[in-house]
Amino acid sequence: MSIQNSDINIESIMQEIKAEIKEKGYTNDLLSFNDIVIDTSGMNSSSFDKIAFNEEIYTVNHTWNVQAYRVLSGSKVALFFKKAMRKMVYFFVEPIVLEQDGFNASVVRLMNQMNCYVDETKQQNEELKKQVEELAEKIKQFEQK
Amino acid sequence: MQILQLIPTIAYGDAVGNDAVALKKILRKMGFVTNIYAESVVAPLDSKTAYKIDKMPKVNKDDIIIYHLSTGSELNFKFANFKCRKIAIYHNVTPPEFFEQNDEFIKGINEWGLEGVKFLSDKVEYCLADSELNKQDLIELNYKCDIDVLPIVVPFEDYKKTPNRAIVKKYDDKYTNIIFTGRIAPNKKHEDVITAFYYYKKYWNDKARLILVGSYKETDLYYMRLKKYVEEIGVEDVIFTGHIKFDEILAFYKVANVFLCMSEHEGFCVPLVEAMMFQVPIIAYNSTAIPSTLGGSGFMIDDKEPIFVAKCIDKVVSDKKLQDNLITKQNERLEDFKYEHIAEQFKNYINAFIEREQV
Repeated sequence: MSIQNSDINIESIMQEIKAEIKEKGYTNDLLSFNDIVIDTSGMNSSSFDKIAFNEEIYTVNHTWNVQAYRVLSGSKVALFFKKAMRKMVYFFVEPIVLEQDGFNASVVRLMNQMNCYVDETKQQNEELKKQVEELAEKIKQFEQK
Repeated sequence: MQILQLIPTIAYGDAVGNDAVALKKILRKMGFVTNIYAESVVAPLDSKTAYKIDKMPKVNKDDIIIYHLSTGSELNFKFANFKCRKIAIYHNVTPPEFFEQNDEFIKGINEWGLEGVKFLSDKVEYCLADSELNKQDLIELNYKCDIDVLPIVVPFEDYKKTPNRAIVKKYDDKYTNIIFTGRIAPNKKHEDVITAFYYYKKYWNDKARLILVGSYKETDLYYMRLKKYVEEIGVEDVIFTGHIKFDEILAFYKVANVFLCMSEHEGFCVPLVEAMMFQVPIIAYNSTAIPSTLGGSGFMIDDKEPIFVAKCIDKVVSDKKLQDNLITKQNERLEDFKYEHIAEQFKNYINAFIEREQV
């Protein structure tokens, strides 16, 4: 359903506004949004880096296990309240943390498997490369005969 | 006979999900056995709202499934296999090109979504579209069945809840609050809202605040670019609220002086209706379904030049007569979206379909 704007004429208001901007000489010299680029090199690697991969493997193997229980510190009074709060929320927090740890452990095992796969494949590739080179050399020798 | 609704994902606060819930209520009132089934029911929603699809009962030939079509999903293809009468409600799929530079994953999902829409073109008996634009999209995608336009059902009653007091107290001050509501997504063109705000603040009103209400992920490239843009151009008082509670959204509408929408792709745009409800004057760029949702109300602009948009904000904020006029027209338009009207329309469409498509 269309409503007729009888009292106001938006079209003429827009024309007035455009005329006013022209008269005052306002110009848009603002940086274009298209020029805003985020460096995503850290997020999307374009090539495989075994050293970086090994570093991350090391990190995840040492940090996957999150603890729900935290050692507290503070003054006697603060410590009392903090301990009480820890006790109150523990029943809720602990199952969530355990669930997350289970998931983390699976992901880390998966990454370790991937690491083995990368190493094995690399070794196989090197052996195959060596064989290809040997065969190429033999072909070359046969051709020369 | 049962009328079931199918939806890929149902989440709290999502317009498509809200629509499904509202339609469920109408169907129940009509006396049908009905429920919503989804591949994914996102917490805090539970079986009170929708069931997981594996709980879906067997359907017979005379049953009807209404499918909400809005994104890429396996369900778009599986839906065709149901041996019953099928209706699709098309909420529109955002064109993938909007995500070209920002999110390859979402781009892929939307491409898949469009494939699904094309796939279903000869597999449904009837379609409902949120807007005339959505209807035309379906026709272009070779849909030959009957298609009617049914605006999204906006649950007016929910908006009568008390807005969050803390937010109202914090932002109801001497500042002019410019608001835009919508998920942080490239088609919504938040950057154009930001540039217009920059000039409004620079030339006309230093005591202005831009509140961008809408969810985002910290790792979204588009969001990261927007944050960086705000920093680079050095504009202050721009707030990204992120995902917030419903009473907080209500509070932001309550303190808003202008609703500014620069979106370049909307299948309906529920926030326009929300702004109407809160008597917030709307300035919106003329694109896709925006003119049909505004229906002649609001201050619709045909130019995105940021200084022009900024001056339009100033005009609406400072001209009381214009403001009153806009709100009057918006109130008239709001009548068209009242629950009773849409419910009546929906009932008529469903009854006509049942009569027409007798098994």
